[in-house]
Amino acid sequence: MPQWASRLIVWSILLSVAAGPAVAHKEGGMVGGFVSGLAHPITGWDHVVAMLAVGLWGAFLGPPAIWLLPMVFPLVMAGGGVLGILGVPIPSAEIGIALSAIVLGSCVLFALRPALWIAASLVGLFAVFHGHAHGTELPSSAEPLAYAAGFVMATGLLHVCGIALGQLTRWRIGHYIVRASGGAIALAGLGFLMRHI
Amino acid sequence: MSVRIAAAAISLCCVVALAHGTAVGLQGTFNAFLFSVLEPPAPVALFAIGLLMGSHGARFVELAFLIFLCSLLTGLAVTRLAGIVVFPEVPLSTAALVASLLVVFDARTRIGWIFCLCAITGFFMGILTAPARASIGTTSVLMASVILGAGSAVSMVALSVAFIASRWESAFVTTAIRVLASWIAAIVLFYLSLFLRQRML
Repeated sequence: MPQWASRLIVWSILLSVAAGPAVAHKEGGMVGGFVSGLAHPITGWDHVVAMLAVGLWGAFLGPPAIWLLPMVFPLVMAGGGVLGILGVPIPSAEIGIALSAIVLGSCVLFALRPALWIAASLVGLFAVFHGHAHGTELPSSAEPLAYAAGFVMATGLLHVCGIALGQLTRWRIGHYIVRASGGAIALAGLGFLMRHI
Repeated sequence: MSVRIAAAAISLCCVVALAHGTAVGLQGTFNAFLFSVLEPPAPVALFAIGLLMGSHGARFVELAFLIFLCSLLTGLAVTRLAGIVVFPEVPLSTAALVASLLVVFDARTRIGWIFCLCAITGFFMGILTAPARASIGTTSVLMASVILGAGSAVSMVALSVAFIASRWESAFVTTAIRVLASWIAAIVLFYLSLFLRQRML
């Protein structure tokens, strides 16, 4: 490696370490609400894996489940969120969330292809638990619209990630990768369940 | 020398950067124009009603848009009613929720009901601006700016959706519009419950 290149690398590392956060655009109001809403579903792994599983299973089942499941989830989740915000109790919501990862991951792992209404009902049922958990955790001080927009968009984008991963089923090796991902999600769900029991 | 003169001239041309100026309420024509895009829940209501209009085709948009504008003007004009309707956000959000759900379920609703939804959205959008207008006094220029801003936003969404749906008549486009509407419905539901909780506490 030439000397100038190694110097460049060293200086780049030093400068990147020395860099402080830019606070010119301090988050607040609409922007702060949107960012915190966007971050909310991503910060909990139990939510992340379950939402990935929804997209993955939808892609695995193919049309029309590929769009129906990610459409059902945010709608029913919002309903569950309303229950949480209004303080309506749902017993063992955290266990329900862990179960969602186990069941949806297992569906992908074992390549289950139930009737569309069964798949949609299953996803809808688990969406209630997710929505309720989010609803109870929502900060009352947040800017409501921006927070809700960020929150729903993050959820939808996680589904899109799952669908994108599910597109691997077009190839033979991809089929196994997707099913293995389902297994990993189910295992992660089992871990979450053990933590909550 | 000419470079120095040019530099001096350019520096004299500089004006204050207003990019990060606050856009609260209707403190000017520009803010009035942006009101419908910035003031919750107006953006989602406009988006939802635009999606509903656009999903019925470009020919439908013309009449629906006209009804929306007329009702918006009515809402802006009826300032006395603003004192009675305490939370115009609630009916506006409800109309947005119904509009987005109609798109999600691809419901074959009577055209009259859809026109009614457009009218409700426009009317309560007008009412929503009342507190901000009251603080600075209603002027016709500001009202025109609100109409221009809201009208531009709705027409842009509706015509884009109508154009895309007619240009690419595929299941993918229809699905994308319905998924987008489901997101809007979820956002409105969350917004409504958060808004009501904040007001009740």
